[in-house]
Amino acid sequence: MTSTDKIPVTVLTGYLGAGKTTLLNRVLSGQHGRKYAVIVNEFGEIGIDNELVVNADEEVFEMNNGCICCTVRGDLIRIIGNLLKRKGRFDGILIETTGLADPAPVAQTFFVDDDVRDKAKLDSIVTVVDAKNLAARLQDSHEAAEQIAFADTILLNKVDLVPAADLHAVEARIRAINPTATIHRTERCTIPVDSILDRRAFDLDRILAVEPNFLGEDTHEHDDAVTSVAFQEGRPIDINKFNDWMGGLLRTRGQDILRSKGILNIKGSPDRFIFQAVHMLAEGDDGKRWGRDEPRVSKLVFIGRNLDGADLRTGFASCVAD
Amino acid sequence: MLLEDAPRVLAPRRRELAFDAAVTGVVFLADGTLAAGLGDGTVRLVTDDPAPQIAQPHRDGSAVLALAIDFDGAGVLTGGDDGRLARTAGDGMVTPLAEFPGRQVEVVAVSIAGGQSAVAAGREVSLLDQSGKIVAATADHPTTVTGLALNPKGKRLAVSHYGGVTLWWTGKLGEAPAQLRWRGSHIGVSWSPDGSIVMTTMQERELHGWRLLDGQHMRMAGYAAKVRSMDWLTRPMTLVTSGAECALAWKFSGGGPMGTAPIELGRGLGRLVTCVAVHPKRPLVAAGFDDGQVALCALKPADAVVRVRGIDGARITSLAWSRDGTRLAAGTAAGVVPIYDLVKTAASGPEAEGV
Repeated sequence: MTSTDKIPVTVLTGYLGAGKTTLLNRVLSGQHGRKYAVIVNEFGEIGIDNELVVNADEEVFEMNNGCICCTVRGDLIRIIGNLLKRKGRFDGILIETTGLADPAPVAQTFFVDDDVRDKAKLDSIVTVVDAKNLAARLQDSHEAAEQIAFADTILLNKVDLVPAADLHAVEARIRAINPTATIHRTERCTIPVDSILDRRAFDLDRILAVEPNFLGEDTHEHDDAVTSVAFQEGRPIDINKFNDWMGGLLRTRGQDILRSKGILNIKGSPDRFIFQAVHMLAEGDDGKRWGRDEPRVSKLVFIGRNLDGADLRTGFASCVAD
Repeated sequence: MLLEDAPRVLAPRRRELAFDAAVTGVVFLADGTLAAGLGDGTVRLVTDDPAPQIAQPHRDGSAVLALAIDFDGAGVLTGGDDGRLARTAGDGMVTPLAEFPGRQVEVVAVSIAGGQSAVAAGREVSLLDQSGKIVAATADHPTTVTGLALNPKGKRLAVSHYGGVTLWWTGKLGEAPAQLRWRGSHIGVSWSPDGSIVMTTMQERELHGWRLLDGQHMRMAGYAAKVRSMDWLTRPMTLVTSGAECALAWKFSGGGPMGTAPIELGRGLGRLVTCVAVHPKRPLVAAGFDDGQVALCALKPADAVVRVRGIDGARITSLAWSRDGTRLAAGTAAGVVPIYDLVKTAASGPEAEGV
């Protein structure tokens, strides 16, 4: 099965009351002409009288593979396997998580389980954020920042309830955590379904648009805040050096590094090399060919806690090809 | 075992049926009728009539996820992703038994000896009597139930879940369980035919077992994939599993299987065995592969392997022997159901092709 045959899976996260249910009901109404299966959490607000809706228990399991942060959603492995036995194809699967869920186990399930990897592909993580209450949420919970950190797409909802000046501040707050996500401003989650589903957002091309930033010594944070750091490198990268460095880095620091993503200009390759990781689980693949006149620049983004910008920059620089 | 040395092959296929949904389970009823559960919520009943009968125990658009022969041999119990448990009799009559809204019912077990059946939905396990009525239920399990197995006498019920197995007495479901603990995600459970051992398959691509007498643990690691299919030969007591490029048989006699290597059956034929079924009377194993092949293997090292179905790309999802062992049926993810006859022949070589 090639990756284009795999069923795209969208993960929908966000705090209770942020507006996920409105969005789910729109997806289920089917007026967009596509058929999605929806996996809701057991405390979900959605009525379950729909054959496309499955209840899940959000059972997070530790894998017995020696990787301490390698947790997966056991219930998803079963449910997705079962959905694929049905006659007729779904256009996609949408997984709702509870407001308090850490998105990592959901994402990691798509890296770790062979059966799931064979048939399904994580298309994107969509996080619904309540524009009015975001600041308070970031204050009182770990999960709010994690949900933003993991997002490929962010719906900044309830923008009608917030003055324009405050909205800019909220967006800046989001950008500080996650510089690569697409942000949509919405009211009552009103957005065309196809602008959040089946986006192949994981092809990560947006990374190239990210301006490099650098956490200097003064901004090196030791508190629990989730921050991001982005690097740019004009010289070609040696893939072996990169794999060695990144492998070691994620093994030792993978608990704090929530996500890392990169588009790399590899010495000797005409194609972009696309790299992404969730905590310690990484995958790399060839991406689009570089254009003839396109500047071949490598970009690498880390999102996490306790990021040591200087150390990461030195590490990345050591991957430059001789 | 009689006539151990007389070769058996599966004769040219008797019949091959094709449906337009994945086959999720096959089983022969006592009278020889084949019941096949499909990914469209139907059960197809195949007799010698040209057209199989269609029963619809589950909602249109749902899938049959579990299929087990009922205690009387005259019907099947099915669980579906519509949350229903139903019985379909050999004549096609459907009796709804239970409904668990919003749940996928994928775990059903039947004890012919005990005249009882069990079904799981989420953390809850329900026991049904011979009339199909729920007589007891408990949700006292730490996570979603992934497997159910009744012991040979039908008196005890093993329930697999994350962290191990909970053992209940069927007469006292919900009271005083025994726990078999092992860290990790257990995704299926089986009871040995002598009742002495409980085996689980794990997310981590290994088997775990407990000897009930003394709590001794067993661990069989190194599988290429999750083990989805386990079956037992009674004498000598042997566990046969899928999950590798050949079927693996672990002998429990003579101090084994710990410290011994499994017997490899059908090596060299394909990439991955997805399904196994032990012949009801003879030391023969049918193995199905992820590329559509089916092979018949003698449970003796170096004995003949007969490939009876070639590669067609569709994964074998299910295998079943008829009760008398004269017929074998398979089901594929593409909706094909081949049925073979087992006949005695002296002329078969190791590479004989039945197809």
